[in-house]
Amino acid sequence: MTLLQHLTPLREALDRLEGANPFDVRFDAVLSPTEGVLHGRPVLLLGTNNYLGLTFDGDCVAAASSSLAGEGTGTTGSRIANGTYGGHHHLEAKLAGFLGRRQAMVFSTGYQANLGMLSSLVGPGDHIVIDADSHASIYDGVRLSPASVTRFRHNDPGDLARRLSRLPSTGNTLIVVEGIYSMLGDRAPLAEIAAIKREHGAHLLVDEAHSLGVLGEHGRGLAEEAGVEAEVDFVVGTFSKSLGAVGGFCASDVDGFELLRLACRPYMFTASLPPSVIASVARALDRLTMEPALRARLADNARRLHAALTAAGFELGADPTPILSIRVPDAGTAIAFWNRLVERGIYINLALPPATPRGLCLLRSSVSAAHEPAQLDAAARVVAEVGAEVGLLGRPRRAVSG
Amino acid sequence: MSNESVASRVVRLVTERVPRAEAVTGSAVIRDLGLDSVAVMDLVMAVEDEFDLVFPLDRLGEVETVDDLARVVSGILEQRTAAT
Repeated sequence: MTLLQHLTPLREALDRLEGANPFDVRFDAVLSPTEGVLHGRPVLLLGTNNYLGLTFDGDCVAAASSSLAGEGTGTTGSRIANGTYGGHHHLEAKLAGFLGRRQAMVFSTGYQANLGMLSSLVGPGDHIVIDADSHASIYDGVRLSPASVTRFRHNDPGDLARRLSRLPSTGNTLIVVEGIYSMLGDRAPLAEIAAIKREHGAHLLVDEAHSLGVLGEHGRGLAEEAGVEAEVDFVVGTFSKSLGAVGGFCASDVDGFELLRLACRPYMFTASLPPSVIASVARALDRLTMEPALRARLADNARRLHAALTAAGFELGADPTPILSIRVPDAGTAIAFWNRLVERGIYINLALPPATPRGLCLLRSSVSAAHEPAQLDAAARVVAEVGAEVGLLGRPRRAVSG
Repeated sequence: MSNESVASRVVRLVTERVPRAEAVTGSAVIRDLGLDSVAVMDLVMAVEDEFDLVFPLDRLGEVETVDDLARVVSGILEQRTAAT
């Protein structure tokens, strides 16, 4: 057997793709939070998770530039060696304050935040119960945990309660859910889940990767929106979506949290974030905190695109979050749809099984506060026309706005 | 509890999830039946419901064939009986 032979099915699947490879997109240029150049053509960016549109924010860029010149390009070391600068410590305090928690830890990516927390929070004889539609970082994190791991049906509090009741009475139990699920954009029923958590004496970790800065009056995420922050023991999140950079964090009030810094391998055995990234994230957190108008604009844009695509006849989830996914019956149609959209100047994400729940083929768009209403209206018209071309819709109807 | 054996109940659960119409035998390799990694984990959830037990995901490492799955289920049931 030759090396990589186990990946033959993947090679065969790639060989069956027609047109550009949707998983090898190389932008010629990214010009703004909403505009780029792909294959020599200008494209509207409608699949970048850039929810608040802060990647080109003047203050964030200036903070990063100043840090870059003053502190250098990288720390070249781990958080527990030479990789913690004043900025890392300051950002942790700032995040903890924003989320109303006593402590926070910053990781080099959001993926590592889940890997780190899920591998270290519970021990042998404990239990982790995760939503079946969890992100890959949650699945990979629990694989590193010595606890027993089981899944409950997506967003089904009754199923969660049933599975919790089957667990042995010994050991701690950690429930893991997400604020907004990345593929379909649906929220967790967090109030019900929090009540079940309380009833069973479990702990609750909520990954607010797609909901931080998006939901809640102050942008603290789904837990704030649902009014259950006191029931959430661990808030995990990322800097690579609403905060426009890269990195991840966990915030908590749990006693002994600081010990995790010496137990959490994905925190310890990797280089820390460059100080320029820390500086831009700290500034982006200020923008998120001080400008609720960004969040309001994002919500308006999400409702606008949701209404236009629904009116055009697409099947979307009922919940207009910034993630709007069109369900396509088969991979071939989804790939043709995606390629044609790129040709027509729209970049969105193609998501295929097994990266999607329940074998769904999805064209996943994510809206930004930086989108102009006219950009979204034009995009909805093109998506409807291409949807008709690939046989997904009947005759294109006029997309409505507002 | 039904009189149906653990093995035949597991075969039934696998059969319900196999995309191709074919007879599932105990010696069948589960991944060769067209179930991807998510489908296999969904099968585990169905097994948990069928037998009212907890099947930790790390025990999937012991499972290649349908018989292997039935063997792990029987082991969990026996452990539970011994503990009560």
